Amino acid sequence: MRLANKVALITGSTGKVGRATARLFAKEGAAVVIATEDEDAGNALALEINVAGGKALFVKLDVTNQQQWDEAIRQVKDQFGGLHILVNSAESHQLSMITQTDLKTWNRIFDVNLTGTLMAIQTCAPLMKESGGGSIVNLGSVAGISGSYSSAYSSTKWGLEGLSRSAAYMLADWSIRCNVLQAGSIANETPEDNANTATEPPVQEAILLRRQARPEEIANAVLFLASEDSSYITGNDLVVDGGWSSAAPYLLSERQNRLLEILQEKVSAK
Amino acid sequence: MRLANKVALVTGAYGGMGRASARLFAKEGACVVLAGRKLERGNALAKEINESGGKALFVQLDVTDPKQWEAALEQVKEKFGALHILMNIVGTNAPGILPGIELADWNKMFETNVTSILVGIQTCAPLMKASGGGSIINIGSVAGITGNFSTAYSSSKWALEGLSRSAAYVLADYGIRVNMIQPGFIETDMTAQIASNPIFKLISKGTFNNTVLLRRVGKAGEIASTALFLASDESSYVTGTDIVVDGGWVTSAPYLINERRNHMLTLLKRKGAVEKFLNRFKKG
Repeated sequence: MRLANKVALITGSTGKVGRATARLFAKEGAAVVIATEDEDAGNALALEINVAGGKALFVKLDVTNQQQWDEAIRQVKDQFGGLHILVNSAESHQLSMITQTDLKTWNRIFDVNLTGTLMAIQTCAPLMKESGGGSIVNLGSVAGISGSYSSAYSSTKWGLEGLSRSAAYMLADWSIRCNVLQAGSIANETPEDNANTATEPPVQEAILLRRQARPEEIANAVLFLASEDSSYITGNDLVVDGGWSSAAPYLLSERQNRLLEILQEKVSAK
Repeated sequence: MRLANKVALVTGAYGGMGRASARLFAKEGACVVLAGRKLERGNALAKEINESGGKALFVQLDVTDPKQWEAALEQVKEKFGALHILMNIVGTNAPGILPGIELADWNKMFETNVTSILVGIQTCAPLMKASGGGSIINIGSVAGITGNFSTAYSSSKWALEGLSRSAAYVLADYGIRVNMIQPGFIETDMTAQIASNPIFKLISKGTFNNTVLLRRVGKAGEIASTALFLASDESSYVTGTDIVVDGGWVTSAPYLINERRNHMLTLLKRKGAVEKFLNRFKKG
């Protein structure tokens, strides 16, 4: 088991990525702290993991509330005695186009996506140091390496890159690594959820792999960054986007299909 | 086992990164094809892996020769019938520094570091497609994401990035993913040679360590564990990108002039800032 004897705190752990990550971490032997505002979903996930033979603890947490952070870390210390892995997957992806974003929305998105992550790192790093070091994984987005239509979201994810690299700098001597996982478009767990994300433009055809990620595929990459397999990786990103950002300028779907048709004709002519 | 039923071909297989990766792939259940020019070294590694319960085959290969690639692939077909993973480690770091680069040296560098990988991909991709797809891993260098003093080497590694991403584009529909690992300073046979190079004395290891966030050089096993991630289905949604395995060398380089960093940390300690930070959440 790749996370035996490790304790991992996951924010946003009832979101798509958080949930898949919590399940995978527990399977790999970690004690998992499910940190989320959603009490029902958080307790249900903790119960599910515990029943399946894993170790999980639910803590109620609004990532923008320092008091709740202090309380959460106290519970982690009481229950598990240490902390090695912090996964920041809590985020607001509220649509915020520059033409219609009011400051209240802008600030709220920054609070959750950026300031919440700063609080997480500041609160957890001392306990991680005490526990012999570890790994911080921040969930970024392709919107944080490109210009996206959602201005506040894109800005926070670019900001997250700076925060992560600066944290990697400051925490290196405490043996804490810090990296960003830049995720592409992630499929929902159930078809019903798709109804809620109807605003997302169709991206499938612009992705090299021609499909969205399954949450488990993002979780696998989080596991890599959290585990000792990545022991020489810090202050960096891991892009998990199915080749979306890399080839985007050349992936207008008609053009790609036409190109491949021409190629295939040429190859079969040979 | 994370590579059960997979066949992997590794070029430069008996170098530091190659040995570590081949051993790890075999341990995780893959049949490993070790490719390289040196018969004795290759056979010794194959023997070692086979005797420790793994499956390995050495094929003699000069990567710059397309005919030898085809012969190697025939052997792979014959012995294992399939290919899923191609890891291109082979490369040269012969110094080629402006303004005195001989064109012959420049061309040789590109032949070994870029063209050979094109030939490798072109030779292996059809069998990988027929095997149901797979993963190609190219070993670059942080010289391929920065401006490095060794002009020819740096240029060749930047070019390899283009080759990898373009291959990711074209091979996606074959179910083949293509990615790069950009290693920082890793202890290998090649870097041992660099350490004796007069240019590299300037960044001799003692001074070097303080310019890396993790304050140490990397181990070949740390490249191998990253390659394992990229080779396995755990990275099934990762293609057309790189993983920088440099201990935080490049990212903070502008702020890691050795004395300045130490000075800053001393200042923080003197002000008690670190203790204040550590104690902040201990009260109550």
